[in-house]
Amino acid sequence: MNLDDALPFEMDADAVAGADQGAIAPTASDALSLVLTHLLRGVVYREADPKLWQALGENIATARDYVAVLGLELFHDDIEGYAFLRSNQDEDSKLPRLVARRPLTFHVSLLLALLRVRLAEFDQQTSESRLVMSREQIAEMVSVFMPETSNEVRLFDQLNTSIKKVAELGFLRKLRGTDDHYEVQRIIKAFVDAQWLGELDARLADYRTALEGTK
Amino acid sequence: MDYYAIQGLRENHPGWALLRADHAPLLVAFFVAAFIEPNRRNIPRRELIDALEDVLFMVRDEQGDAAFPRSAAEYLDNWAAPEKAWLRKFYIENQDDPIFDLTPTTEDAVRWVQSLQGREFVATQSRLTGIFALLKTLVQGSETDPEVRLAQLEAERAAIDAKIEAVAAGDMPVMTGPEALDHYQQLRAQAQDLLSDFREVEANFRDLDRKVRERIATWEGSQGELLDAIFTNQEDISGSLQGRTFQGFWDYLMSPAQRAELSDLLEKTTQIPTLATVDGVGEIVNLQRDWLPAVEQTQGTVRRLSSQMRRLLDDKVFLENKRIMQLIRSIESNALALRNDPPSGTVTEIAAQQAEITLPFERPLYKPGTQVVIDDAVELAEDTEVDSSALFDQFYVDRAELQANIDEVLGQLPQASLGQVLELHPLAKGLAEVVTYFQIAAESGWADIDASRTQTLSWTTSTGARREATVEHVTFVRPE
Repeated sequence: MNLDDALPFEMDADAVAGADQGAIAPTASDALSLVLTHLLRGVVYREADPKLWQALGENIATARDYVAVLGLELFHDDIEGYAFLRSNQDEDSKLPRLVARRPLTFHVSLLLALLRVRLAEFDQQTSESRLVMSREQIAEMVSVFMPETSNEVRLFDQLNTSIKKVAELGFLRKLRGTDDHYEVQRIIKAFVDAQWLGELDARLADYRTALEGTK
Repeated sequence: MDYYAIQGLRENHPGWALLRADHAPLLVAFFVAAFIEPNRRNIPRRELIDALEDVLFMVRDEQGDAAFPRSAAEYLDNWAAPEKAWLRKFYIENQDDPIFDLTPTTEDAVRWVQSLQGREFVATQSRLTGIFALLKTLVQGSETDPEVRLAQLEAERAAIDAKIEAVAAGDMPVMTGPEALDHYQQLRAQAQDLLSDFREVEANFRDLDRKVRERIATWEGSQGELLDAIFTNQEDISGSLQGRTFQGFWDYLMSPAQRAELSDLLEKTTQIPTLATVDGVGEIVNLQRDWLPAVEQTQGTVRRLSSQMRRLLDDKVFLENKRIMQLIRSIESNALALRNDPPSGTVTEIAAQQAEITLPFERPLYKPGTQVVIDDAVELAEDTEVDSSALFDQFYVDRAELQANIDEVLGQLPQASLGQVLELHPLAKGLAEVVTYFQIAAESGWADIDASRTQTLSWTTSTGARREATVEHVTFVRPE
């Protein structure tokens, strides 16, 4: 792109007038800009910034239209109080992905699935909103699915790697001031949903068939 | 209640287990000191550890360290574990330190131990009149026959008329000292019971909530039928008996007219001449103030429970949870079959939580690092006498003392400027002290630093020189 294209020197009068109008009512568009930039940088939580959350609620239709141009869709959960952007599910889309997909190993996938179910059970059993698990509790939950081996150290390292990966993905958060307590982030509900679990199940079933075929 | 029911309680009831525990005296002493005496709820872990540490220190001082070998934190976690259930441990929003509260059963056990000391005096007359009043309200309030109702009201009016005539004729019965004391004791006891009952009310709400959750988890029919079942049977919190009596209490306490009447009555109680010699009669005016936070907290719990329940009953969530529970069984069985030969490499993918946007100018430019040269050669010092007094000649500004100075002045004045504080307590250590006063002011919620005004402070140094400093104007206000 050369400079002349980017900066047309002969601007017509209408365009200039339009720019002026935008400047007269800055509040509405300011709120929209604020909401959109925050969404592009990460998850927006109601608890973290109630004002931003309100601005999002007021501008939600415009925000949806805007991000649709970029091949994104807005996920907004008013009950849980979080919102984020995800790629449009349309497979035919030729747009490059703005939101990356992170590859997961067997153990990390399994840990995500188990944490998601644990959260669902927790919600059904208690009225608390925060699920906190110790490393020991997480270990107990996954230990059944670990290979039968006497190498405890290897299993321990494996678990630590999985926990670290899940924390990196933003679904576990280490509590401040503790060594081994993690909070299961409620946003896991939106990412590890029934569809995702269904895909994981299908994939595992394939592996299982392949494995049984080789025996 | 038969033998086996009691046996079951002895085995399983947390309150009974508390009384049977070897360290029951420690438990009760600590719970009284931390929760009951100061009338506190929901204490953060850090603070509770400090309080327990204090109690443990005192006991160990007498009995040796072997008496209670574990750390305060371990004890707390142990007491909050589900098999003990003496404390409730939970997390609140935006705070990583867990919160602890007494469970109602623990509170009952502790109060029972407290009651073993006996009471000097048991109110009887006032309770009888109380029972009569309750009976009357119950019977008259439930009367449906208008004739009977009218007859009752007329009888009451006749009785009132008789009293009016008697008082007009100069015959006015006044409560005697013992009678007043009897009523007063009864009032105190009931008010305290009410306060401690809030814990139980909350626990009942949580219980109701748990029952509804169990129903939701095991429900086989459609979501509409479920909602119908919960709300028509009033299994939800606000429809339950406990919910409705609490709501009635809340409305009563929150109505401005009732509140004004209550505080007026409490105020007048403290002025009754026959009660003047009773210890702590003045505290009764605090009753209302003690109730409010307790009631508000219970109300908060109800609100939170309802909003959590809404999360669960949301139709999308309801169906999704059912589907997820089915899927996980299949995933678990597949994962079990694969556990000795787990597939390597990527099995699934998950979307990132944000768009991939990297701003080139957010990256810092390369900066050459500066090399730090460390001279690690140690030279042996000469072994001669060195005058070390310079090390001890440093002075120390006692912050607590300065705070006490401020408090003393505020004891007499509702607010005071820094200059007024210094008139009474002149600066002894110069600028360092001024800085500490500013630090106190900056950290306190009850002080104001006004940059638009200045004041000049002066002091005399240890060598006799006079110094002055012009600083921003500071005002300390008496905390309310």
